[in-house]
Amino acid sequence: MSTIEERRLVLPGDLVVEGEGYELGANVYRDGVKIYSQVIGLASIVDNKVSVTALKGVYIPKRGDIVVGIVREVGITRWLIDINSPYQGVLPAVDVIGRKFSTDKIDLKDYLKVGDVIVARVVSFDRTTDAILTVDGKGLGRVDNGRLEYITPTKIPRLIGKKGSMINLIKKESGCNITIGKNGVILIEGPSRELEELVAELVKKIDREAHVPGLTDRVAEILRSSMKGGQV
Amino acid sequence: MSSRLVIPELTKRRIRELASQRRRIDKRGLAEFRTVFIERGIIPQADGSALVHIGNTKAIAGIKIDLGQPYPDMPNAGVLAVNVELMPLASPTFEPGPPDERAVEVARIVDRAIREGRMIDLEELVITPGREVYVIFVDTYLVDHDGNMIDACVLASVAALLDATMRKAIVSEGRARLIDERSPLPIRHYPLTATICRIGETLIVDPILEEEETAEARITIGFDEEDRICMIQHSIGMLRYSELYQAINISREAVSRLRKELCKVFPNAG
Amino acid sequence: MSEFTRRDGRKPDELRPIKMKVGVLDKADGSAYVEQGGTKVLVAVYGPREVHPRHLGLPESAIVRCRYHMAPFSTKERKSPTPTRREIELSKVIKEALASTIMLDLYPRTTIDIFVEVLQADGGTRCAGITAASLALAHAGIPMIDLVSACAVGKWNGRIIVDLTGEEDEECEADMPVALMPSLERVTLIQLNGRLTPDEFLEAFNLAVKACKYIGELQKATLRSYYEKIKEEVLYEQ
Repeated sequence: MSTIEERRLVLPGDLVVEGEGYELGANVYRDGVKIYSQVIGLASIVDNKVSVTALKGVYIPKRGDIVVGIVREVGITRWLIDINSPYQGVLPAVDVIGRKFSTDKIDLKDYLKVGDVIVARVVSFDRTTDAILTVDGKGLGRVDNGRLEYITPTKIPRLIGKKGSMINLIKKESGCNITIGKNGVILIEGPSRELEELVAELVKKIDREAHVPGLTDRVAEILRSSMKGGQV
Repeated sequence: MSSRLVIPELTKRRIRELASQRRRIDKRGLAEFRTVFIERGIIPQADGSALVHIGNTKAIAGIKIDLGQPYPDMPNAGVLAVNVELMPLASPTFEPGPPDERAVEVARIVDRAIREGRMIDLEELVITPGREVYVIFVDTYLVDHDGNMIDACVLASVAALLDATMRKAIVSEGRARLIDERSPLPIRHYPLTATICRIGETLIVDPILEEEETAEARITIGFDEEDRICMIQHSIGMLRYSELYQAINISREAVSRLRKELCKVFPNAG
Repeated sequence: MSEFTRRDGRKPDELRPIKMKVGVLDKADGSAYVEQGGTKVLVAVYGPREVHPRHLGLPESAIVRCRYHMAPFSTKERKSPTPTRREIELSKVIKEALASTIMLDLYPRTTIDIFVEVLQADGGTRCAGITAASLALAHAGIPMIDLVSACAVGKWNGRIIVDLTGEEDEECEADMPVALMPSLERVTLIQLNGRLTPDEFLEAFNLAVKACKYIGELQKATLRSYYEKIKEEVLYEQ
């Protein structure tokens, strides 16, 4: 069998490939020797592994993922975090305050309040519990500056590009610091509001045009003309 | 007997294994109803009533007949109103309160089987067109739920209607009055249903609760005494086209056997 | 036989004109609009998302909830907005017709909510609702084994016909809404109101299969063109 990366648009129930010896990747199912798509997406076969990259879908937490979340509820011993997912995030108080604290002396609101934005890492998740988060680590914690933009979580690989080509290009040309939450929430912090807006526009463009070939070139062109045009 | 809320996976696995060998957990044939029991006239206060058992599943239906106004869009037809209640005493999973979507679905199935099966000639129930007609209330209670509530409720409702009599009306000065003289309802047809579940690739008739919970698909098919299909409700799971055709044939046979039971109590019903 | 005409001049096996669109609502995760003759249906899908109240969630799979609702202005006489028994039943059967096609075990403890709003009713509203809801589910990116296509068939003036109008529906001897997955050849909903002989049933079902196949092709074309239109626009700009 061969390696085909055709990136053909398929719909639920569309036949992706027929034959023996294929391995099932993401978003496909098998019926006999036929492998069908279960979502709208782009089909590919790499090393006999058949998969479909969904063009739309929700974020399912995975251990180790970096996510950008918003505090939705302050509890006595933990914060509940909206992580743009059917499953909510939980940030335990000990994670922020340290091992020893007494609930009657400390008000968690003094640390993080409803609406605050955090960058966190998923510590554990197995679909039977909420996603446990941590802000302990470099680049993690509360965010006070910048701008948020949203992208369909399944399109994050396009935003990153092959070996980081796309995101590195955007970072380099715009001079912005970009934190990609795997949950589809992107944090953009740049030297100016205009540059942050420019990056946000590019994120939206990638979201909309992920299935159209030549995306990197189009993004590069926009960056080049905007930066030259002195939009800084 | 069964007060379990969750059917153990072991039981489900056993039912699936047996089904794949075309057998059932209670040793019945695939197209066989459980023991059917029908008793008419159990509530003398009602204009008609029946108690039915299909195995452990029990339903009681009562008929009340009053005078009332016809629907504005059907001035020349009597009114049929079917209500089904899944009584809290019938199952630990039933809660008191207004009918939920399950009860509403069963009520509408019973209603369609009777109405579309043309069981009652509603035009015979008109006293003054557009003004005054007989209103037939069918109230059916599921009192013990061990699977296949649909067929039990249809059977109880049909039996109660067959049992029912209505008081004659005398019209004077444009107004009707009911007198004590009674006559049977204008019955024209005798609809009955059979419910089929698919477990794996096997179709079974009249599922018990455990089978129902294991099944991947369910379809109820109604026939009149001339073997015309008068009601279909397939709303759970998937069926191949061939399984649908098979279900029609199986249910027709099952209904004709159920009809024999009904005829023991109501000899005209076949 | 050739004398037979329907009120709107259609042939027995002729569908009314159908229009479909996806992505018609901004906030919903998936949305679709379907017009079939005078019947107009708008559907929104939210989810998979958190279940409220949380105890309704299932530990092993997502749940599906559906509300089929007719707008008060959708009928000749104003319809009260409170749900009727018919709407409660149709909400349930539409939910079941779609739920068995969705990979629910991928999203335990979540819900997928489907809102079917009938804007104008002229026969076949539950079928148009199912067709639109399946489009909206696909548009929302919810994994499923196939699209579901639906159409009503019936018996009117002694003949088996497809896609009944509201008027035909009122006058008919039988009407039979059918939903299926045309390429996998699986039925997910079939209801019969009225009487048919087993032979008439077969004729009607085969007609429904033919109609659903056609509707299925339209659904696929609609979803494809939604993404291809973006592609064309992008390439045109260049």
